[in-house]
Amino acid sequence: MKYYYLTDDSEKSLAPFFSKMVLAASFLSVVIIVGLMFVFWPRQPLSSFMIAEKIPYTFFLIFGATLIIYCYVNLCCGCGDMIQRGYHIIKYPTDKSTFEKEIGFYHYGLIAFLLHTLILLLPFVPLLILPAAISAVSLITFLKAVSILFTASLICRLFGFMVYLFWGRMSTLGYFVARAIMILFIFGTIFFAPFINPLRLLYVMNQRLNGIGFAFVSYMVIALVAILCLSITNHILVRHNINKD
Amino acid sequence: MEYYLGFNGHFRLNSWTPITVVLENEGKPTRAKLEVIVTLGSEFRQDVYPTTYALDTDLPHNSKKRYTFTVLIKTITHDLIVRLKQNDDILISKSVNLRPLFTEKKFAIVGDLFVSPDILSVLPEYLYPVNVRPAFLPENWYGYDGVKLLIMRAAALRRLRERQFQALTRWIKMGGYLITTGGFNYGSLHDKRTQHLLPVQVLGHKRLAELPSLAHFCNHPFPAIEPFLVLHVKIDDAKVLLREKDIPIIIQKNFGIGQIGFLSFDYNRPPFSRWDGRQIFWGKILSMQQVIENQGIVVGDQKIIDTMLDTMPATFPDFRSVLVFNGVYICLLWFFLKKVRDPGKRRWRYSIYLLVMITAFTIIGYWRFFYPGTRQNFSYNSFCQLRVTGQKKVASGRYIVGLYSQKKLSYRLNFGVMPQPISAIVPKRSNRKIPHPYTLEDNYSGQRISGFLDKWTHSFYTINSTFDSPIAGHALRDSHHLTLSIDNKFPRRIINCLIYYKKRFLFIDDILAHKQQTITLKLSDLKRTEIFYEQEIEKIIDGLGIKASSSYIKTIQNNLIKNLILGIDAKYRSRPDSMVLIGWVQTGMIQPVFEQSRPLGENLTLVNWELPVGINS
Repeated sequence: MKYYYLTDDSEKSLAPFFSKMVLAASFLSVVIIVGLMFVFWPRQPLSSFMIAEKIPYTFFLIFGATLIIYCYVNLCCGCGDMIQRGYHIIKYPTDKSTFEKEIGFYHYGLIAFLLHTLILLLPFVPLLILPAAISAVSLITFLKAVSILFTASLICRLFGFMVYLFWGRMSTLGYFVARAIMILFIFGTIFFAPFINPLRLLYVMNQRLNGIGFAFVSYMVIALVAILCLSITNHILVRHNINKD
Repeated sequence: MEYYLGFNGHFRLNSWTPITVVLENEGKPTRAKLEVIVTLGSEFRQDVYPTTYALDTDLPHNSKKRYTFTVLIKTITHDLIVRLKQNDDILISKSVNLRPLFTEKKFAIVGDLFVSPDILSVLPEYLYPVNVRPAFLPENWYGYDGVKLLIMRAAALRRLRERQFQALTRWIKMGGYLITTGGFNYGSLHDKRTQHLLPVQVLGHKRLAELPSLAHFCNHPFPAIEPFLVLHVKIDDAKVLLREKDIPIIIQKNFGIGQIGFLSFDYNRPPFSRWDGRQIFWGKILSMQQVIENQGIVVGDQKIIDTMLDTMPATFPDFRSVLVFNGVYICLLWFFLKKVRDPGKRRWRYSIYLLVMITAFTIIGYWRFFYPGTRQNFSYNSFCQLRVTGQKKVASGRYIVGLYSQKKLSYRLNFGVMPQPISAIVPKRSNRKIPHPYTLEDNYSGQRISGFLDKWTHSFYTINSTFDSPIAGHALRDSHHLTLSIDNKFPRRIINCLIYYKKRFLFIDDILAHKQQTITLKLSDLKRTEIFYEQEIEKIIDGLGIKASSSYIKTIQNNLIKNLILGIDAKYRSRPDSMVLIGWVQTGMIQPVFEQSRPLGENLTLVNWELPVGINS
């Protein structure tokens, strides 16, 4: 039971690693990013950028697109939208309990989410190297940007799971709340809390503006605190659910 | 702090000007940076920017030291600032109002401690005459940029510091004009320095009652009030311009592409100093200076800079490679995800394959696209147009270096021990009106640019200089052949050589490095070649194989060859006695050395050699 998240691909798993839906979503995300890469690939030679003293924004555009897609996939995974559609799910409109709900969060859900978020990120990495090369960001900046993608997605996943624990998989309210919070986190924070906005941070990294180090550390601290808070909340909700059963 | 600007406080606008700063320290030992800040540009055009010239100073207790700069002053609107700076603290600063000090005329300098009071008034009016103490003459050859004529007694040469003497020697070699005399005390003529410039053999003093030849020379009467004391000398390989009873009075010797004139009488003493024909005399002397026609075919700076920008070493990853990389990756990812989906033991095996594939593509992506990109974050290219005329040992050239940076960085670019007149240039295509901040640092170990580049920006520097010619040779023609002897002193071969002779362009073989070569062309073959007309340019471009390549040399050739060919044809079409050789060398006349980084770089020199064709009987 301890490692079910690795092996189980039944409807008892919230987002089974090897489920058709998760793999298809992952592949589709990669195809979209490749497509966007061709769209955003600089049409002019490097010298044109140098003459105009303009920075190519390929890094920001591709990383930004990856952030949105990757966060959304993780949100869906956390909400239970990627659940295997087996006999029970098709036959009965009611929710079926999942391992994530039945096993202590720190022992199962958190590990599964961490692993799965990382695994979902891996197919993007070879592609993300290309826009980083175009915009001439350093390896350190590239790794920082990848870590931003990871933490942002983990936050979305944990939040999606929290919504799932509150309202269940089938709730329309839960569906909209989860997406609204994601939009608020990725776009809305630009207006009221820019220091925690991952898109802005990616833009700053593309621009190589001064103070990237401080902005990155601030973001990471806040993101880790958010992950911690969401983990504790999820743990309490899962424990409550276990005790109730 | 005391400063001495230009020549006795005067400078010529748009010319390199010497400035001497004397620092006296009566306090504690101090190490500081001495800076001269010249502001260039115009408020109206909104392109005002400062150029800083800097030197490191070391001033022990109770010391007095002299430091010299050579600065380019292009406007008098802004004050010149001389300041001593220690870290961020300004220890002392002086502001110089340039308005009352400038002239647009070239200088005629009398470089002596003791001169007759009215000598300056008899120098030609189209020059700006000044008397300069030898100690304040330039220490860099291009400090004489605004000088047309230097009059100096041989004794004063001994007073020059070594750097000053080297600067003077190089200036004359590069086309300067020095008039000297021995005076009564001819001991100075035996001095090593004088002998280096002018190998004079003194045969003794002669007393002449009158100098009718001088009156005839100037076409102005010279009444014989008192006798002349002239020095009878002999100078090897020199031309006697004026002779009186077998005694040379005015002798001229070529030195490099410049000239040194020797007067056998003392211009500071009577009867010459009392003669009313002196203005005519100096005018005549100036007219004796050979006109240096070394223009060749010049391609405009902006055209070159545009081409350099287009062919900068840094490029984006090749789109086709990216297409293949992404395509293969997508296909493999699709294959492995499909395999992973199927339950069973093979799922785990394919999962591992999938991870390996992703890792492999990450590594390939890094080495193929990312790593080359990090290496080209800072790059440069340089181009030199070298013009050689005839068999002269001095070539003139315009060197341009372009620096390109994709990240914020500071750099130090060293141009070697030989000082060069470096100035920044802004490409017209760029949105920028002023260059990025830079400092020209000069010290005894060399000259360097310390500058700063913002991300995705460029800087261009230009050096308009003269060099020791790296090619020598001659062309001879008989009734059947044209023979060209060339000694190529470049470290690399001269490639894609093209000869223009008798209205025809001909390709010749590459000229090997460090080798004396003889190329013989049959005149009958030449006659069979069609006379050049404009439509033939395409044929020449095809011959160079330009279109097939995107390399630095080929792109530059592609952009410049048309202008060059048409320019050569227009200039030399009516000169059947001259031959022009154009060739390309993949090295620079100046080798830029970067002190903190090793950027990717390419150098190219275009040789443009005009050679008279002698007839071999």
